[in-house]
Amino acid sequence: MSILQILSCIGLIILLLNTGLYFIGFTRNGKAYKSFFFYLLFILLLQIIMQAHALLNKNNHYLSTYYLFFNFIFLSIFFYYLFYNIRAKVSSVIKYSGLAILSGLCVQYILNPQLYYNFNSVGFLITYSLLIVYSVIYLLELVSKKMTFTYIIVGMLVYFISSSLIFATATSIVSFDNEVNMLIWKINAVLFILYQLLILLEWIQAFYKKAPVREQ
Amino acid sequence: MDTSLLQESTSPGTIIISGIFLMFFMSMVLLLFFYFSKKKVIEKELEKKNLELQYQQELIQATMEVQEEERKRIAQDLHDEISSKLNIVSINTHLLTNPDIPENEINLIRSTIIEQIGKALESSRRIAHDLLPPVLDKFGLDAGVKELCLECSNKLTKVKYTNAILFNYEDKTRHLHVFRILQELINNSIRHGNASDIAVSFDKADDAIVCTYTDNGKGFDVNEMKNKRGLGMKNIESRIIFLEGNITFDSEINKGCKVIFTFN
Repeated sequence: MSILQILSCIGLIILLLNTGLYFIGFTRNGKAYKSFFFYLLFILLLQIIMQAHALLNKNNHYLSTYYLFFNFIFLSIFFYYLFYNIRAKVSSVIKYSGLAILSGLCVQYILNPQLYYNFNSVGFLITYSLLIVYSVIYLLELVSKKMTFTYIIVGMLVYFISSSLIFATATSIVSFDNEVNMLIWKINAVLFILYQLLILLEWIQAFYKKAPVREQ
Repeated sequence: MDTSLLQESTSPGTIIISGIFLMFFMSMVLLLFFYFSKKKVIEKELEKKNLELQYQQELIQATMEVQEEERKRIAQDLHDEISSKLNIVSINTHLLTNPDIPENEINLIRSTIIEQIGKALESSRRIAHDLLPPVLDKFGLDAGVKELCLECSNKLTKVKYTNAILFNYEDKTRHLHVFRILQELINNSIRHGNASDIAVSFDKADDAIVCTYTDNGKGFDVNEMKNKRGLGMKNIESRIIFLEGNITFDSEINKGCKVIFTFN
Protein backbone atom coordinates (compact mmCIF):
# COMPACT_ATOMS: atom_id res chain seq x y z
CA MET A 1 0.00 0.00 0.00
CA SER A 2 1.44 3.38 -0.95
CA ILE A 3 1.50 6.35 1.42
CA LEU A 4 -1.15 8.11 -0.67
CA GLN A 5 -3.46 5.11 -0.30
CA ILE A 6 -2.92 5.03 3.46
CA LEU A 7 -3.63 8.76 3.74
CA SER A 8 -6.78 8.43 1.61
CA CYS A 9 -7.86 5.50 3.74
CA ILE A 10 -7.41 7.49 6.97
CA GLY A 11 -9.36 10.38 5.43
CA LEU A 12 -12.12 8.03 4.37
CA ILE A 13 -12.34 6.41 7.81
CA ILE A 14 -12.66 9.77 9.58
CA LEU A 15 -15.22 10.86 6.99
CA LEU A 16 -17.19 7.66 7.62
CA LEU A 17 -17.01 8.29 11.38
CA ASN A 18 -18.13 11.90 10.93
CA THR A 19 -21.06 10.93 8.72
CA GLY A 20 -22.17 8.41 11.33
CA LEU A 21 -21.78 10.85 14.20
CA TYR A 22 -23.60 13.65 12.43
CA PHE A 23 -26.43 11.23 11.62
CA ILE A 24 -27.04 10.76 15.39
CA GLY A 25 -28.25 14.32 15.89
CA PHE A 26 -29.93 14.59 12.51
CA THR A 27 -33.55 14.84 13.68
CA ARG A 28 -33.09 17.24 16.60
CA ASN A 29 -30.96 19.84 14.81
CA GLY A 30 -31.68 22.63 12.38
CA LYS A 31 -31.68 22.81 8.61
CA ALA A 32 -28.03 23.94 8.38
CA TYR A 33 -26.99 20.82 10.31
CA LYS A 34 -29.14 18.64 8.05
CA SER A 35 -27.66 20.07 4.87
CA PHE A 36 -24.18 19.60 6.28
CA PHE A 37 -24.99 15.95 6.98
CA PHE A 38 -26.11 15.50 3.37
CA TYR A 39 -22.87 17.11 2.24
CA LEU A 40 -20.87 14.63 4.33
CA LEU A 41 -22.94 11.72 3.02
CA PHE A 42 -22.37 12.88 -0.54
CA ILE A 43 -18.58 13.17 -0.25
CA LEU A 44 -18.49 9.82 1.54
CA LEU A 45 -20.34 8.13 -1.34
CA LEU A 46 -18.16 9.90 -3.88
CA GLN A 47 -14.98 8.85 -2.09
CA ILE A 48 -16.14 5.22 -2.01
CA ILE A 49 -16.98 5.29 -5.72
CA MET A 50 -13.62 6.91 -6.42
CA GLN A 51 -11.76 4.26 -4.44
CA ALA A 52 -13.67 1.57 -6.34
CA HIS A 53 -12.66 3.18 -9.63
CA ALA A 54 -9.05 3.28 -8.49
CA LEU A 55 -9.19 -0.37 -7.50
CA LEU A 56 -10.64 -1.32 -10.87
CA ASN A 57 -8.12 0.95 -12.58
CA LYS A 58 -10.86 2.94 -14.30
CA ASN A 59 -10.71 6.58 -15.22
CA ASN A 60 -12.50 8.57 -12.51
CA HIS A 61 -12.12 12.06 -13.95
CA TYR A 62 -15.82 12.39 -14.76
CA LEU A 63 -16.59 12.05 -11.01
CA SER A 64 -14.97 15.43 -10.48
CA THR A 65 -17.92 16.99 -12.29
CA TYR A 66 -20.33 15.55 -9.71
CA TYR A 67 -18.00 16.70 -6.96
CA LEU A 68 -17.89 20.21 -8.46
CA PHE A 69 -21.67 20.48 -8.65
CA PHE A 70 -22.83 18.79 -5.47
CA ASN A 71 -20.05 20.15 -3.28
CA PHE A 72 -21.19 23.64 -4.28
CA ILE A 73 -24.92 22.91 -4.03
CA PHE A 74 -24.83 21.28 -0.58
CA LEU A 75 -22.46 23.83 0.92
CA SER A 76 -24.43 26.74 -0.56
CA ILE A 77 -27.58 25.34 1.08
CA PHE A 78 -25.60 24.90 4.31
CA PHE A 79 -24.44 28.52 4.25
CA TYR A 80 -27.90 29.71 3.19
CA TYR A 81 -29.47 28.25 6.34
CA LEU A 82 -26.49 29.26 8.46
CA PHE A 83 -26.99 32.93 7.60
CA TYR A 84 -30.79 32.70 7.49
CA ASN A 85 -31.31 33.88 11.08
CA ILE A 86 -28.13 35.90 11.44
CA ARG A 87 -28.10 37.97 8.28
CA ALA A 88 -31.02 37.54 5.94
CA LYS A 89 -29.35 39.71 3.29
CA VAL A 90 -26.28 37.47 3.03
CA SER A 91 -28.61 34.52 2.91
CA SER A 92 -30.43 35.86 -0.14
CA VAL A 93 -27.13 36.82 -1.79
CA ILE A 94 -26.00 33.20 -1.33
CA LYS A 95 -29.24 31.99 -2.90
CA TYR A 96 -29.01 34.18 -6.00
CA SER A 97 -25.26 33.92 -6.55
CA GLY A 98 -25.55 30.14 -6.12
CA LEU A 99 -28.25 29.95 -8.77
CA ALA A 100 -26.27 32.24 -11.10
CA ILE A 101 -23.09 30.18 -10.76
CA LEU A 102 -24.98 26.92 -11.27
CA SER A 103 -26.67 28.17 -14.42
CA GLY A 104 -23.31 29.50 -15.64
CA LEU A 105 -21.75 26.08 -15.10
CA CYS A 106 -24.63 24.40 -16.94
CA VAL A 107 -24.11 26.73 -19.90
CA GLN A 108 -20.40 25.93 -19.82
CA TYR A 109 -21.13 22.18 -19.96
CA ILE A 110 -23.71 22.59 -22.74
CA LEU A 111 -21.24 24.59 -24.82
CA ASN A 112 -18.43 22.16 -24.12
CA PRO A 113 -19.84 18.65 -23.35
CA GLN A 114 -16.34 17.22 -23.48
CA LEU A 115 -15.69 18.96 -20.15
CA TYR A 116 -17.72 16.24 -18.38
CA TYR A 117 -14.81 13.83 -18.77
CA ASN A 118 -12.23 16.39 -17.68
CA PHE A 119 -11.31 18.50 -14.70
CA ASN A 120 -13.15 21.84 -14.84
CA SER A 121 -10.47 24.16 -13.47
CA VAL A 122 -12.45 27.39 -13.93
CA GLY A 123 -15.52 25.86 -12.28
CA PHE A 124 -13.50 24.73 -9.28
CA LEU A 125 -11.82 28.10 -8.96
CA ILE A 126 -15.12 30.00 -9.02
CA THR A 127 -17.07 27.71 -6.68
CA TYR A 128 -14.19 27.41 -4.23
CA SER A 129 -13.67 31.18 -4.17
CA LEU A 130 -17.34 31.71 -3.43
CA LEU A 131 -17.32 29.17 -0.60
CA ILE A 132 -14.19 30.81 0.82
CA VAL A 133 -15.95 34.19 0.75
CA TYR A 134 -18.95 32.70 2.61
CA SER A 135 -16.62 31.23 5.25
CA VAL A 136 -14.87 34.55 5.73
CA ILE A 137 -18.22 36.35 6.15
CA TYR A 138 -19.27 33.77 8.73
CA LEU A 139 -15.96 34.17 10.59
CA LEU A 140 -16.52 37.93 10.58
CA GLU A 141 -19.88 37.34 12.26
CA LEU A 142 -18.15 35.07 14.74
CA VAL A 143 -15.86 37.87 15.90
CA SER A 144 -18.63 39.51 17.88
CA LYS A 145 -20.92 36.54 18.58
CA LYS A 146 -20.76 33.02 19.87
CA MET A 147 -22.11 30.61 17.28
CA THR A 148 -21.95 26.96 16.32
CA PHE A 149 -20.09 25.39 13.36
CA THR A 150 -16.93 27.37 14.16
CA TYR A 151 -14.50 24.49 13.63
CA ILE A 152 -16.28 23.35 10.47
CA ILE A 153 -15.97 26.81 8.96
CA VAL A 154 -12.33 27.08 10.02
CA GLY A 155 -11.64 23.66 8.45
CA MET A 156 -13.50 24.63 5.30
CA LEU A 157 -11.55 27.86 4.97
CA VAL A 158 -8.15 26.19 5.41
CA TYR A 159 -9.00 23.23 3.17
CA PHE A 160 -10.62 25.23 0.38
CA ILE A 161 -7.96 27.94 0.29
CA SER A 162 -5.11 25.45 0.31
CA SER A 163 -6.59 22.94 -2.09
CA SER A 164 -8.10 25.47 -4.49
CA LEU A 165 -4.75 25.62 -6.26
CA ILE A 166 -4.65 21.83 -6.56
CA PHE A 167 -8.13 21.62 -8.10
CA ALA A 168 -7.58 24.63 -10.32
CA THR A 169 -4.41 23.16 -11.79
CA ALA A 170 -5.41 19.50 -11.62
CA THR A 171 -5.33 19.04 -15.39
CA SER A 172 -1.72 20.17 -15.60
CA ILE A 173 -0.71 18.31 -12.43
CA VAL A 174 -1.35 15.03 -14.27
CA SER A 175 1.27 15.98 -16.82
CA PHE A 176 4.01 16.39 -14.17
CA ASP A 177 6.40 13.61 -13.37
CA ASN A 178 4.95 10.99 -11.13
CA GLU A 179 6.81 11.99 -7.96
CA VAL A 180 5.58 15.58 -7.93
CA ASN A 181 2.13 14.45 -8.97
CA MET A 182 1.92 12.03 -6.05
CA LEU A 183 3.33 14.60 -3.61
CA ILE A 184 0.62 17.10 -4.53
CA TRP A 185 -2.14 14.54 -4.03
CA LYS A 186 -0.54 13.51 -0.74
CA ILE A 187 -0.70 17.13 0.42
CA ASN A 188 -4.35 17.20 -0.61
CA ALA A 189 -5.01 14.01 1.36
CA VAL A 190 -3.33 15.47 4.47
CA LEU A 191 -5.38 18.66 4.13
CA PHE A 192 -8.53 16.57 3.77
CA ILE A 193 -7.66 14.66 6.96
CA LEU A 194 -7.15 17.97 8.76
CA TYR A 195 -10.52 19.19 7.48
CA GLN A 196 -12.28 16.01 8.61
CA LEU A 197 -10.59 16.17 12.02
CA LEU A 198 -11.92 19.70 12.51
CA ILE A 199 -15.42 18.50 11.56
CA LEU A 200 -15.02 15.75 14.18
CA LEU A 201 -13.83 18.32 16.73
CA GLU A 202 -16.91 20.45 16.03
CA TRP A 203 -19.17 17.47 16.73
CA ILE A 204 -17.36 16.74 20.01
CA GLN A 205 -17.48 20.39 21.08
CA ALA A 206 -20.97 21.36 20.03
CA PHE A 207 -23.14 18.29 19.58
CA TYR A 208 -21.76 15.57 21.85
CA LYS A 209 -24.12 14.88 24.77
CA LYS A 210 -25.62 18.33 24.51
CA ALA A 211 -29.13 19.62 24.27
CA PRO A 212 -30.23 20.20 20.69
CA VAL A 213 -28.97 23.48 19.34
CA ARG A 214 -31.28 26.22 18.21
CA GLU A 215 -32.56 26.27 14.68
CA GLN A 216 -29.90 27.85 12.51
CA MET B 1 25.25 23.69 -12.98
CA ASP B 2 23.62 26.85 -11.66
CA THR B 3 21.28 27.09 -14.61
CA SER B 4 20.11 23.49 -14.26
CA LEU B 5 19.45 23.99 -10.54
CA LEU B 6 17.44 27.09 -11.27
CA GLN B 7 15.45 25.25 -13.91
CA GLU B 8 14.82 22.39 -11.57
CA SER B 9 13.65 24.59 -8.75
CA THR B 10 11.21 26.51 -10.91
CA SER B 11 9.41 23.54 -12.43
CA PRO B 12 5.59 23.99 -12.43
CA GLY B 13 5.22 21.23 -9.84
CA THR B 14 7.42 23.09 -7.38
CA ILE B 15 5.55 26.32 -8.06
CA ILE B 16 2.23 24.64 -7.33
CA ILE B 17 3.54 22.99 -4.17
CA SER B 18 4.96 26.25 -2.89
CA GLY B 19 1.68 27.90 -3.93
CA ILE B 20 -0.26 25.40 -1.84
CA PHE B 21 1.94 26.09 1.17
CA LEU B 22 1.62 29.80 0.61
CA MET B 23 -2.17 29.48 0.49
CA PHE B 24 -2.13 27.36 3.63
CA PHE B 25 0.01 29.97 5.34
CA MET B 26 -2.33 32.74 4.20
CA SER B 27 -5.37 30.90 5.56
CA MET B 28 -3.57 30.49 8.88
CA VAL B 29 -2.75 34.19 8.98
CA LEU B 30 -6.39 34.97 8.20
CA LEU B 31 -7.54 32.69 11.03
CA LEU B 32 -5.08 34.24 13.45
CA PHE B 33 -6.36 37.65 12.45
CA PHE B 34 -9.93 36.60 13.25
CA TYR B 35 -8.82 34.97 16.48
CA PHE B 36 -7.07 38.09 17.75
CA SER B 37 -9.91 40.36 16.64
CA LYS B 38 -12.33 38.21 18.60
CA LYS B 39 -10.05 38.36 21.63
CA LYS B 40 -9.90 42.11 21.39
CA VAL B 41 -13.67 42.43 21.04
CA ILE B 42 -14.19 40.22 24.09
CA GLU B 43 -11.68 42.26 26.09
CA LYS B 44 -13.47 45.48 25.15
CA GLU B 45 -16.85 44.00 26.11
CA LEU B 46 -15.46 42.81 29.42
CA GLU B 47 -14.11 46.25 30.12
CA LYS B 48 -17.50 47.77 29.34
CA LYS B 49 -19.28 45.28 31.58
CA ASN B 50 -16.84 45.99 34.41
CA LEU B 51 -17.46 49.71 34.10
CA GLU B 52 -21.21 49.13 34.17
CA LEU B 53 -20.83 46.96 37.24
CA GLN B 54 -18.71 49.57 38.95
CA TYR B 55 -21.29 52.23 38.16
CA GLN B 56 -24.09 50.07 39.54
CA GLN B 57 -22.15 49.40 42.70
CA GLU B 58 -21.61 53.11 43.15
CA LEU B 59 -25.33 53.69 42.75
CA ILE B 60 -26.18 50.99 45.28
CA GLN B 61 -23.73 52.52 47.70
CA ALA B 62 -25.23 55.96 47.14
CA THR B 63 -28.74 54.61 47.69
CA MET B 64 -27.63 53.03 50.94
CA GLU B 65 -25.93 56.22 52.05
CA VAL B 66 -29.07 58.21 51.28
CA GLN B 67 -31.10 55.73 53.28
CA GLU B 68 -28.74 56.04 56.25
CA GLU B 69 -28.82 59.85 56.03
CA GLU B 70 -32.60 59.76 55.99
CA ARG B 71 -32.68 57.47 59.03
CA LYS B 72 -30.30 59.78 60.85
CA ARG B 73 -32.51 62.74 60.06
CA ILE B 74 -35.67 60.98 61.22
CA ALA B 75 -33.92 59.85 64.42
CA GLN B 76 -32.78 63.38 65.10
CA ASP B 77 -36.25 64.79 64.39
CA LEU B 78 -37.87 62.26 66.71
CA HIS B 79 -35.33 62.94 69.41
CA ASP B 80 -35.38 66.73 69.18
CA GLU B 81 -38.99 67.41 68.46
CA ILE B 82 -41.03 64.62 69.97
CA SER B 83 -39.03 62.90 72.70
CA SER B 84 -38.03 66.18 74.34
CA LYS B 85 -41.61 67.42 74.42
CA LEU B 86 -42.97 64.11 75.69
CA ASN B 87 -40.28 64.30 78.37
CA ILE B 88 -41.63 67.62 79.57
CA VAL B 89 -45.15 66.17 79.52
CA SER B 90 -43.98 63.18 81.55
CA ILE B 91 -42.25 65.36 84.19
CA ASN B 92 -45.26 67.63 84.47
CA THR B 93 -47.62 64.69 84.83
CA HIS B 94 -45.46 63.36 87.66
CA LEU B 95 -45.65 66.78 89.30
CA LEU B 96 -49.44 66.54 89.20
CA THR B 97 -49.34 63.38 91.33
CA ASN B 98 -48.01 65.48 94.21
CA PRO B 99 -51.07 66.18 96.51
CA ASP B 100 -49.76 69.48 97.96
CA ILE B 101 -49.78 71.66 94.89
CA PRO B 102 -51.80 74.82 94.92
CA GLU B 103 -54.62 75.29 92.41
CA ASN B 104 -52.85 77.97 90.33
CA GLU B 105 -49.77 75.71 89.88
CA ILE B 106 -51.99 72.85 88.74
CA ASN B 107 -53.47 75.12 86.10
CA LEU B 108 -49.99 76.16 84.96
CA ILE B 109 -48.81 72.55 84.70
CA ARG B 110 -51.98 71.57 82.84
CA SER B 111 -51.53 74.32 80.29
CA THR B 112 -47.84 73.35 79.82
CA ILE B 113 -48.88 69.74 79.19
CA ILE B 114 -51.52 70.78 76.68
CA GLU B 115 -49.12 73.10 74.91
CA GLN B 116 -46.32 70.52 74.74
CA ILE B 117 -48.64 67.78 73.51
CA GLY B 118 -49.94 70.15 70.86
CA LYS B 119 -46.34 70.88 69.74
CA ALA B 120 -45.46 67.16 69.72
CA LEU B 121 -48.52 66.47 67.60
CA GLU B 122 -47.61 69.23 65.20
CA SER B 123 -44.04 67.92 64.96
CA SER B 124 -45.14 64.36 64.35
CA ARG B 125 -47.46 65.61 61.60
CA ARG B 126 -44.61 67.58 60.02
CA ILE B 127 -42.21 64.60 60.17
CA ALA B 128 -44.81 62.36 58.57
CA HIS B 129 -45.46 65.00 55.94
CA ASP B 130 -41.76 65.27 55.14
CA LEU B 131 -41.48 61.52 54.77
CA LEU B 132 -44.42 61.19 52.43
CA PRO B 133 -46.56 64.20 51.59
CA PRO B 134 -50.19 63.11 52.07
CA VAL B 135 -51.28 65.25 49.11
CA LEU B 136 -49.03 63.27 46.80
CA ASP B 137 -50.34 60.05 48.23
CA LYS B 138 -53.99 61.02 48.03
CA PHE B 139 -54.26 63.34 45.05
CA GLY B 140 -51.38 62.30 42.79
CA LEU B 141 -48.24 63.84 41.35
CA ASP B 142 -49.81 67.00 39.96
CA ALA B 143 -51.23 68.09 43.34
CA GLY B 144 -48.07 66.90 45.12
CA VAL B 145 -45.75 68.99 42.98
CA LYS B 146 -48.12 71.95 43.17
CA GLU B 147 -48.01 71.79 46.95
CA LEU B 148 -44.21 71.35 46.91
CA CYS B 149 -43.84 74.48 44.76
CA LEU B 150 -46.17 76.44 47.01
CA GLU B 151 -44.32 75.35 50.12
CA CYS B 152 -40.96 76.31 48.65
CA SER B 153 -42.16 79.71 47.44
CA ASN B 154 -41.46 82.57 49.83
CA LYS B 155 -40.29 86.18 49.78
CA LEU B 156 -36.86 85.22 48.42
CA THR B 157 -37.79 82.43 46.05
CA LYS B 158 -40.60 82.01 43.56
CA VAL B 159 -41.39 78.57 42.17
CA LYS B 160 -43.56 78.47 39.05
CA TYR B 161 -45.32 75.26 38.07
CA THR B 162 -47.04 74.36 34.79
CA ASN B 163 -48.44 71.03 33.76
CA ALA B 164 -49.94 69.77 30.50
CA ILE B 165 -50.23 66.14 31.53
CA LEU B 166 -52.96 64.12 33.14
CA PHE B 167 -51.01 61.67 35.27
CA ASN B 168 -52.13 58.12 35.71
CA TYR B 169 -52.96 57.58 39.37
CA GLU B 170 -51.92 53.91 39.14
CA ASP B 171 -48.24 54.88 38.66
CA LYS B 172 -47.91 56.05 42.26
CA THR B 173 -44.52 54.47 42.98
CA ARG B 174 -43.00 55.89 39.82
CA HIS B 175 -44.47 59.30 40.55
CA LEU B 176 -42.87 59.27 43.99
CA HIS B 177 -39.46 59.05 42.24
CA VAL B 178 -40.35 62.06 40.08
CA PHE B 179 -41.47 63.96 43.16
CA ARG B 180 -38.25 63.14 45.03
CA ILE B 181 -36.14 64.24 42.06
CA LEU B 182 -37.93 67.59 41.97
CA GLN B 183 -37.65 67.90 45.73
CA GLU B 184 -33.89 67.32 45.48
CA LEU B 185 -33.52 69.78 42.58
CA ILE B 186 -35.47 72.53 44.34
CA ASN B 187 -33.54 71.86 47.51
CA ASN B 188 -30.24 72.20 45.64
CA SER B 189 -31.34 75.38 43.85
CA ILE B 190 -32.33 77.07 47.09
CA ARG B 191 -29.54 75.79 49.30
CA HIS B 192 -26.55 75.84 46.96
CA GLY B 193 -27.68 77.97 44.04
CA ASN B 194 -29.43 80.82 45.90
CA ALA B 195 -31.97 80.84 43.09
CA SER B 196 -34.83 83.37 43.20
CA ASP B 197 -36.81 82.05 40.24
CA ILE B 198 -37.48 78.39 39.68
CA ALA B 199 -39.75 76.89 37.02
CA VAL B 200 -41.05 73.33 36.79
CA SER B 201 -43.07 72.05 33.85
CA PHE B 202 -44.38 68.74 32.52
CA ASP B 203 -44.93 68.24 28.79
CA LYS B 204 -45.73 65.38 26.49
CA ALA B 205 -43.19 64.35 23.82
CA ASP B 206 -43.73 61.30 21.60
CA ASP B 207 -44.50 58.51 24.05
CA ALA B 208 -42.67 59.95 27.06
CA ILE B 209 -43.27 62.71 29.58
CA VAL B 210 -40.66 65.46 29.67
CA CYS B 211 -40.03 67.41 32.83
CA THR B 212 -38.15 70.68 32.39
CA TYR B 213 -36.62 72.30 35.43
CA THR B 214 -34.91 75.70 35.29
CA ASP B 215 -33.51 78.08 37.88
CA ASN B 216 -31.61 81.38 37.84
CA GLY B 217 -29.15 80.43 40.56
CA LYS B 218 -25.38 80.30 40.67
CA GLY B 219 -25.13 77.42 38.24
CA PHE B 220 -22.27 74.96 38.09
CA ASP B 221 -19.70 73.46 35.75
CA VAL B 222 -21.33 70.43 34.11
CA ASN B 223 -17.99 68.69 33.48
CA GLU B 224 -16.94 69.10 37.06
CA MET B 225 -20.28 67.75 38.22
CA LYS B 226 -19.70 64.57 36.21
CA ASN B 227 -16.44 63.95 38.04
CA LYS B 228 -17.59 64.94 41.48
CA ARG B 229 -21.17 63.85 41.93
CA GLY B 230 -22.64 64.42 45.34
CA LEU B 231 -25.01 62.14 47.14
CA GLY B 232 -28.02 64.09 45.90
CA MET B 233 -26.99 63.74 42.26
CA LYS B 234 -26.37 60.01 42.65
CA ASN B 235 -29.76 59.73 44.25
CA ILE B 236 -31.34 61.50 41.27
CA GLU B 237 -29.49 59.25 38.83
CA SER B 238 -30.59 56.06 40.51
CA ARG B 239 -34.18 57.26 40.50
CA ILE B 240 -33.91 58.03 36.78
CA ILE B 241 -32.68 54.47 36.25
CA PHE B 242 -35.72 53.16 38.14
CA LEU B 243 -37.91 55.34 35.91
CA GLU B 244 -36.10 54.02 32.81
CA GLY B 245 -35.72 57.60 31.68
CA ASN B 246 -33.00 60.01 30.63
CA ILE B 247 -31.62 63.08 32.29
CA THR B 248 -29.54 65.99 30.95
CA PHE B 249 -27.97 68.82 32.89
CA ASP B 250 -27.21 72.11 31.22
CA SER B 251 -25.55 74.81 33.26
CA GLU B 252 -22.81 77.39 33.35
CA ILE B 253 -21.38 79.25 36.30
CA ASN B 254 -23.52 82.33 37.11
CA LYS B 255 -26.01 81.44 34.37
CA GLY B 256 -28.46 79.28 36.25
CA CYS B 257 -29.18 75.71 35.32
CA LYS B 258 -31.55 73.68 33.21
CA VAL B 259 -32.37 70.06 33.89
CA ILE B 260 -34.50 68.00 31.52
CA PHE B 261 -35.58 64.48 32.33
CA THR B 262 -37.94 62.05 30.67
CA PHE B 263 -39.99 59.18 32.00
CA ASN B 264 -43.01 57.17 30.93
